[in-house]
Amino acid sequence: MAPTFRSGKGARCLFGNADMSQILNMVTVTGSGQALKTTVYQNSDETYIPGLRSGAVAYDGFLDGTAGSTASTATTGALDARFASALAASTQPIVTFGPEGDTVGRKARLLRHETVGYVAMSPVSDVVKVTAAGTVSGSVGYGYFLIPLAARTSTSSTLGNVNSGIAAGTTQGGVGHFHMTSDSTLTNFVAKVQHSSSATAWADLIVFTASTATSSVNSAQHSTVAGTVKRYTRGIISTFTGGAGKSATVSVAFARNGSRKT
Amino acid sequence: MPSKRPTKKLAGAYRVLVGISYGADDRHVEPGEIVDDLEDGNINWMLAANVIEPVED
Repeated sequence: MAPTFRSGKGARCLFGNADMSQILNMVTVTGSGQALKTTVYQNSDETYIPGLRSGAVAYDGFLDGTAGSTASTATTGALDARFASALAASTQPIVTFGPEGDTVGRKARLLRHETVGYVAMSPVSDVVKVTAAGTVSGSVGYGYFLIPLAARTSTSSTLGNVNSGIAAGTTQGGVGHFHMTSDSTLTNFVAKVQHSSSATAWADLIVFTASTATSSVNSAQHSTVAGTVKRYTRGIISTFTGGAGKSATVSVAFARNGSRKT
Repeated sequence: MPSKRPTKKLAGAYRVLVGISYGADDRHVEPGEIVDDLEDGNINWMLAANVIEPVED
């Protein structure tokens, strides 16, 4: 199959409960692994074995310091605060980055990181800029989007599915990310990652709940699952209650563990 | 000589162990509920994945 290239302009970066795509113009996610040298006498060629894997992320963009920014779809408050607060936070931010955008099936990097740097720069003849960097804690999940970021107003199970092409599925579990960047009059919301062998009947794999009762609306959630993940995966919104004008802007992504990434 | 496969009646009642969605209307069923209208093709993999279990007579 011929490769498909896409512009980076549609990239999506979800950082906790904020859509940082609004201020960023470059995100770099790096995965690397140690090569431990095992060369000994009599060898003619150097030999290596794999060591620890590691990851890093870097963000570049513009400063949004407006108090109660209306440029942000994330509740209230400037996006500047997202990076700044992550520096001192005891909880690592939940990040989902879509290099090609967040259409269902498009690639996603799922990660959590210790924020190790946040820099604001004010060049006299240019826009005020920011850069931030983090060291990934755990592994980078190489997955795909199941629910694109959009304002939803009702339950839905017709958002599409992703076919791994492996009839037996994969056996090493996976990780799911959920981001809710805004809501209106929401009281209870449930999104699920489901899997299936047939794509005609689906079993729940991961359940994300956001409700006013738990003060977790506008939240980000990271959830892991062990064991078999069947051939097909999809994201659904199974519960959606609130006022007459209820809405919620949400995104869901999933990554299989192991070498298979779709 | 053709092998004789064990025959097993798949259709029947099953207890749902994790939430499932199925059917033309994508009906959602929560854990603990009993369903009796799953297709054979889905019963096979759902049993193997511990998504459903047969209801004892």
